[in-house]
Amino acid sequence: MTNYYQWPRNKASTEIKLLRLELLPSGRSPCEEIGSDWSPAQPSENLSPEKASELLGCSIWSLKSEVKKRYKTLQMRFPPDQFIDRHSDWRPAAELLGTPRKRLNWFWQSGLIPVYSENSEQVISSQTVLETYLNEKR
Amino acid sequence: MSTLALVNLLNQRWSELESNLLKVASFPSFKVFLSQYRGRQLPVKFENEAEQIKASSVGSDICAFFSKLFSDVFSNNADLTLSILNEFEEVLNLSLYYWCGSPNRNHQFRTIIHYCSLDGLGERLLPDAPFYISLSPTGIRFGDISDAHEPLVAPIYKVCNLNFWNADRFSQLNSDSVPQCVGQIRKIQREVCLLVDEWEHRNALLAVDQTEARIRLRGSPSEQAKLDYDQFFQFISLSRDKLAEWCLESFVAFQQWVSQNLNVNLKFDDVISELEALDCLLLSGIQKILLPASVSRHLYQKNVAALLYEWSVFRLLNHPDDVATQLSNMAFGAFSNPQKTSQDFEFPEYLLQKNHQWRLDFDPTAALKSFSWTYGRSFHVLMSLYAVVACFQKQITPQVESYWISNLASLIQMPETFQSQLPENLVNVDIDTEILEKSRAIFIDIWAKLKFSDGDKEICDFIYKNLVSIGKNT
Repeated sequence: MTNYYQWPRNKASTEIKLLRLELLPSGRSPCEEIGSDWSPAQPSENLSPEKASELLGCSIWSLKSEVKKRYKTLQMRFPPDQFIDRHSDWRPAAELLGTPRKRLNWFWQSGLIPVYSENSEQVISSQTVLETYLNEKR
Repeated sequence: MSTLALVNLLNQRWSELESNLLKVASFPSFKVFLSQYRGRQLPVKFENEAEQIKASSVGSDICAFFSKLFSDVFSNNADLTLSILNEFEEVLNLSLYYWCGSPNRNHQFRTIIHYCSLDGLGERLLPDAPFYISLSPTGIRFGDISDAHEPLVAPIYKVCNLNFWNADRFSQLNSDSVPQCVGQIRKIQREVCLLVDEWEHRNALLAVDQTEARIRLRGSPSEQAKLDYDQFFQFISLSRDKLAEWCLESFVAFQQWVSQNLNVNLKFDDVISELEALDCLLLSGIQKILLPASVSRHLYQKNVAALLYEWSVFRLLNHPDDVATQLSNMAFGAFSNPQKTSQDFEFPEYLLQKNHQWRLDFDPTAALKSFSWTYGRSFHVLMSLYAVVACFQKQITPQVESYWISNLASLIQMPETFQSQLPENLVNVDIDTEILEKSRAIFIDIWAKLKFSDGDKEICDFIYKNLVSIGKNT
């Protein structure tokens, strides 16, 4: 069966994701946005790369310099519609995936979904749902 | 005859339903549509008339498929009840959540609905029964003709094998079964990531809809337009709550599962670290669910608070000294649980021991900010005191950074930033003066030992005045 999880989807919020990865000024609380309405253009995320790496006890992104450079380069090189495809080619270096927590955090930050090639975990499909229901009720 | 028979037949005929959904997949115009699709209706440019005709027949084909399915199971229409329909709808829509037309996550049920313009399309389900079927981007709904509810979807934890991987099985792990166990935990990690992805996606769609409506209102302001906007706004709010409830049902079940299994005496480090990673992932997920409220002043209603409360109870099993979870527990509990009394909110003594967890991957004040609109003033002051004391206890040097000062000030100010016309004091816990004064005394004591920079003077006065003087009888 085809495993489609590794393909990121074109999200309504892709731009917001980039915004919050790159542009959230450090040290600013989201609450300083008091008064502005909920809007998709708002950098509303609380989890800046700085915070995430500091708090998860791992330096996943070289702050400011590397993260910004990486995303900026990607952005400049590819127009928005191609950005997602190119982005999915980027894979984390091995040392970033050392522990389950680091690995998950990388995926979390990149917006991709973790899929492992040595696949011991079950893929859930539409028919898995129906069969699970039937097994439980029979 | 029951839901079981319906699901059984649906399972046998699944490929037939799927071929209806895949009918347009090979159209050149569909490929263009797919590359541009971001979850919202787009103008469709069909290549030729044949494409258009085929696309417009997809809706009636889906309806016909279900009419046939129902009439094959129910020879007597009178046996068909709303509760059977609801249960079937939940299972069906969960299976549509997992449906994907090609190795491209954009190619979902929602995509077909938008490409073929099927949103809202409905038909009578059976000739002699008072039930209808109708289509929407988030699934298929069954019911009365006037009933345009959000399609019911079973929570995803139901297909995650949690019962099989229970605490007994965890306690009997051996080196042969560890890989399978890690596979199970990673599967749930993946499902949580996908769920958060879905949450962010659909929440963003709601935000875009809402923004568009607001722009329309600005373009042509009138009494009627204002009323229409308010009505639409309510609809969006309700949808966001429903979506949050659906996500949280799974978050609660996963948190319970993780907490229970972490409490088993596990001998395998791999398993423990995978479980801890999942534990941490769930926390980040909850933070994302809170964002519309803690940042954008969305008013989550009681059902959402009740689920969040349940989540905090399960998380506290393993993190009893985590300030973020404790404050969450108080904030969610006060709103969702009318049994709570003043005694439930006494000063948490562990805060004074200074070794409590003050983690920042979950904004410790997020829960208070999200539900501050439900509290009375004295309750909010008390909760703010706890957050402020917890934060200052973690200061290593007496000098407090401006960042923290403004963060705490915004917490104190939060209730006033919600929209002005709110129901008053939904939380009616009458806080004992004694509890409040004890917490104030502790705060004043800690405050006196801290240093603030000159630039923060005004904001420090604001914090002090609000926490110490306001609401004081004497």
